[in-house]
Amino acid sequence: MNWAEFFSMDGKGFYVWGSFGAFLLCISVEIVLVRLRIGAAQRGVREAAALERDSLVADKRVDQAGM
Amino acid sequence: MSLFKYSAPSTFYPLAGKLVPWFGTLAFVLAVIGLYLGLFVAPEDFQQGEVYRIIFIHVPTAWMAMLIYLVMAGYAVMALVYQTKLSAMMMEALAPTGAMFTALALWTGALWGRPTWGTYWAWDARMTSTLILLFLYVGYIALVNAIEDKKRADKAGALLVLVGSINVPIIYFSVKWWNTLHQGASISFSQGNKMAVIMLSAMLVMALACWMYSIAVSLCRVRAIILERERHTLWVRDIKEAQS
Amino acid sequence: MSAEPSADAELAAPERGVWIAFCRDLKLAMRSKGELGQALAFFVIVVSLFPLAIGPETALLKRVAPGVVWVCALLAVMLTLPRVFQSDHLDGTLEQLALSPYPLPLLCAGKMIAHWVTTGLPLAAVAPVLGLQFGLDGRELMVVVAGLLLGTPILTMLGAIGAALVLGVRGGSILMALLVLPLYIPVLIFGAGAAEASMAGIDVSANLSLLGAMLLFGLVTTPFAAAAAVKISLD
Repeated sequence: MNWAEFFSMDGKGFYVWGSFGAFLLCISVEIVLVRLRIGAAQRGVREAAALERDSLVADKRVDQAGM
Repeated sequence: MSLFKYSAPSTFYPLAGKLVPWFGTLAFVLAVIGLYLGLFVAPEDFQQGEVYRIIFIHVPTAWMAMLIYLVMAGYAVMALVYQTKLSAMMMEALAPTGAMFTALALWTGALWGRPTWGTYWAWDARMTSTLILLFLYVGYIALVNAIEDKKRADKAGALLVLVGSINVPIIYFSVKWWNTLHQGASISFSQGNKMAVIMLSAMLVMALACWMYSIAVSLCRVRAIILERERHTLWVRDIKEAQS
Repeated sequence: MSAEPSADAELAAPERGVWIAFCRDLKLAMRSKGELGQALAFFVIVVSLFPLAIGPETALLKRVAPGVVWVCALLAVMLTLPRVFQSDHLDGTLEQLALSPYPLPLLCAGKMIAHWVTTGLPLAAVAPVLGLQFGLDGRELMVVVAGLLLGTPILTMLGAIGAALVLGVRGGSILMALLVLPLYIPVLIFGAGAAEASMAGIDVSANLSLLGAMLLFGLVTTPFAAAAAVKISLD
């Protein structure tokens, strides 16, 4: 297996590897972006849950103080 | 039917989470096989030499670009007729992947065109239709992002995808017509008459790999969309990701 | 209410919805004639930009004439599309229309026809003058006009769907352009193609019949799509 020949692809290596490379690049970028998005969404859920817990606790304190 | 229990975001979310690794692994394995077949096993082409190998990316991505839009249209029908939130969310989850594949098809098509027919862009029927398909994807994504009310965005996007998909055959036909009139570069696949079986298999394996990949990524993305939209509902509080 | 039964029946006949919407929109458009003139002026000015940009060489201008006239007509129609629904949406009339006893698709059809009469029709009327500037001869001009007469209604109908979808959305007009222009491409191809065919001396009937077929198909489908889009935007 002549690796030099393989990489040059008849001298058209730029086009072939430009295509395969773009393919792998786009897929990697998309995967990274999706994981970032789901991480942010999970963070958003945690924050919303924390906010609600805090407001529930605050309500309870107000009730107790009011009593 | 028991499948309908998964039409609620709360039940679909964990199901999708379990499915993503399966589809992802399948996609990876198929891609490795496909790339091996395409780069090492398939022989050199009689006319084009080595550069033809780009088709193992170009054709599968072009197929996926079309397939994803069709699937989106299916979800659009469900979103408008059955008014299911999840259908609209799946449609929204698929769009970026569809747009990516369309852009890749255009890019690889250009890189194939230059060494083979001397020009990066030849305005042939297939590539021009693919370009228009990219516009359709971008339009959908822009519309859905511009409308703040999610219910309205869902339905508006669904209607747009439906109108678009009805127009796709008309657009393709008109572009083919236009192309034959203007005698553009006749980009007919030289292997059109008899493609070596090994080349066809490699293309099919890569197409399957892209398909599995699309399912994995869109299932992952729809989980994010579900969390974003259902942030304030009760069931979301109970999932393990919400426990800090 | 003491209205006679026959008068009531006539009022409620759904087909009248088309006529009522058409008359209303036409009256409203006539009140702001300036707006109508603007679309026409835009068309004329932009068409004239091309010779300034590419030079006065007659052969070249004649070659690009169909394409230039068609693209500019398309853009002029698109610029006036917000008019179909926007002012009604802003003052609440659109909701009233959606709730009226007349079927919304028919009301939309009436609005589309009114829009075409005030936009596409004048454009088709002015196009021969512009075509002369580009050196087209009588027969070719007729084909351009025929194409525009068949094609501009389709542009209005498809555009109305886009306009309805982006009602009230920030940056709506440019978004609408993004949505609608890809759908315009077949009309452009066959319309300009007909004119080019006549320039090449080949048969134009194929292009024109395809335009006619698209027009008929649009007439029976787009009012429903536009009505659906309006309902979606009003919710």
